[in-house]
Amino acid sequence: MLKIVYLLLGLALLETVIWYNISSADFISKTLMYGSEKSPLCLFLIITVTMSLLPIESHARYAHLMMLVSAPIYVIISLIGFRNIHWNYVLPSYSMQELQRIDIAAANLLFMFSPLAAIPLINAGDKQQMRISFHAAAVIVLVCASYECYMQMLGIGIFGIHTAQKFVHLSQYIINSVRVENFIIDRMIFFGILLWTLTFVGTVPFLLRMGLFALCKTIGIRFSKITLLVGGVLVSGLILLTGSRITVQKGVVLFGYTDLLVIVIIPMCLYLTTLRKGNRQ
Amino acid sequence: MRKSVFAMLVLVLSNLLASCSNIKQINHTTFVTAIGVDKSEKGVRVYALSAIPGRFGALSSSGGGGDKNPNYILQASGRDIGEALFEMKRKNSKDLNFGQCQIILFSEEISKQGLNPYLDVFMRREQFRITSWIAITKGSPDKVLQLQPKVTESSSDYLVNMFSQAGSDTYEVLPIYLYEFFSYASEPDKTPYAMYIIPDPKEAGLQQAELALFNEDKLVGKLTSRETAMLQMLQNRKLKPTTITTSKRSYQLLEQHTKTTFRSNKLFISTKMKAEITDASNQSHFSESQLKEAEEDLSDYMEKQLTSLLDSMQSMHVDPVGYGGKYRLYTKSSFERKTWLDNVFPKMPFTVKVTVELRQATRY
Repeated sequence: MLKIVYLLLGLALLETVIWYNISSADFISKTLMYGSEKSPLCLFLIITVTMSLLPIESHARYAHLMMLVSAPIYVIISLIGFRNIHWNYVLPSYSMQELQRIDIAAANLLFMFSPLAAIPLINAGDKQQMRISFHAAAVIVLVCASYECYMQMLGIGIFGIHTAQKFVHLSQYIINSVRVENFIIDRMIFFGILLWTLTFVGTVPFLLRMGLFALCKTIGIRFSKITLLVGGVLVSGLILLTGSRITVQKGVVLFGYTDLLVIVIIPMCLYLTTLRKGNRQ
Repeated sequence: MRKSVFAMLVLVLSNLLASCSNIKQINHTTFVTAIGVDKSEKGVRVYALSAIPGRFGALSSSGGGGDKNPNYILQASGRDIGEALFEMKRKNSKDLNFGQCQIILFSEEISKQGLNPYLDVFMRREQFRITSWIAITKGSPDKVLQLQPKVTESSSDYLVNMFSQAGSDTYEVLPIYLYEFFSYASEPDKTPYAMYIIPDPKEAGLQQAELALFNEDKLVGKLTSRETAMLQMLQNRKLKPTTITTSKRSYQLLEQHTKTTFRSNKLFISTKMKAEITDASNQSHFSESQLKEAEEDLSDYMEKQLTSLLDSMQSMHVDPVGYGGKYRLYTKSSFERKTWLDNVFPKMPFTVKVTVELRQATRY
């Protein structure tokens, strides 16, 4: 049973790694006019695999630094975007008429929270430290995911629901819609590229490390740098051979279902089982 | 030591993979600052105003711009804009860069047929700014592009100054970004608009005299500059320096706020304004009764103007203010833009009320 949970966690995290790598390559290839997305994809895969070899403390330090550097810029730019918002576009915030498939909506929403799946895998040694790191990571991931929800709302407010749904990278369009006169940065999209890359480097290697850790637990082999390297190369090969933005876009719903399973259903089942056992005792 | 070598190796390999060795030099690039789109026999004709950096005053070696036009116009035809741009790139010895393009002009003829098929390429390609301004030209856009204004060195700079409100800003100029136009043409809440640009060869300048109004993406009518100012008030936009001239005197607008409500399927518009008298050549001081009379003069004038504007909008079946969005929230039922623009809005009764507060104006 535990091995199945590990397998699902591993798959959920690797799906996020695949989605993030391909989306980033697609975005960078378009904004920086590479033409083919293969060159930036190779670059991102090298960064992902190399950084995943670093110990978990390095990931934590990098995440800390990234939050200090990129988060305020992102928040400020998004606040400037409020100047262009049409509040009528946002309202009504909930419409049953537009909600045709609840399962797809839930899957799409939960995919944003997919990094949460990595938290149960953080092993901090003693229980007290474990509890602190678990809470801290949970808060950070929830804040980031909530911020992503807020960006979606902002996108709908700026472009309208019919227009916003046409964009693949909505948050980048939000940044692109910000125009500041007499500012040193003429086009905000350059900030967007910088922030996207920072977020990528801070998130994906950690998710790859955690995903491969879960898979190692499933297969029953020792988790080491060698296994990380081999696993990383295999995942990279898989992405390079099969990955394209179109296939990944189709897979988002499937990825969301996996996240629904590992973030909501399995923890709830475990909790209810524990509760039942406790009642029996 | 091994770690540093490994890190260096990764860094070098990464640079090679990212094509740093294959970069295009700036002197081998043509920078397009404005684009014009017109109809052609093949489909569309695209004009690209391209800068010659050395001829711009700030960039030339002598320090002055000279008399020569600092731009040249590239043009190409195609079945769509994408094909025309590719044709243009093929004909040009340098690579084309559209990252500096801030103005997109469409001819009146093409606008009447609908702009949606032509907007997609500008929204889709990341190189174009979605904050470029959209404007309409009477006749071919190349007449506007090739004009060399007296004030600025390039027609694109002239238009950027005007639209960005960095230079002369007034309620009579209502700029619209590409993404706004694209959104208004798709969303049910509002219909798009764009300024008309007319070349004035005598003055060696450009005029922005009228505002083009669209139903979805098709040009259906226009507003005068005075009506454009009234429209901005109805849109409740941030105040810009504006003078309102009635039959008696001129007033400088200091503050305005417009509130729109729907009650019993009727539209109520209430505008509160603060203004001051700017031109009353016969009087240096106004008494209370004279001020009251002036307030009535301005409020009557404004009510007539706003009523006339709303009548025009209803007859043209356009909603540039965004009443559709407010009505959608008011009815809380299914809302279709076509029904709103064709059946509901044109027949909707409305009341306009303008309250004016005049500041005591003394001379000196």
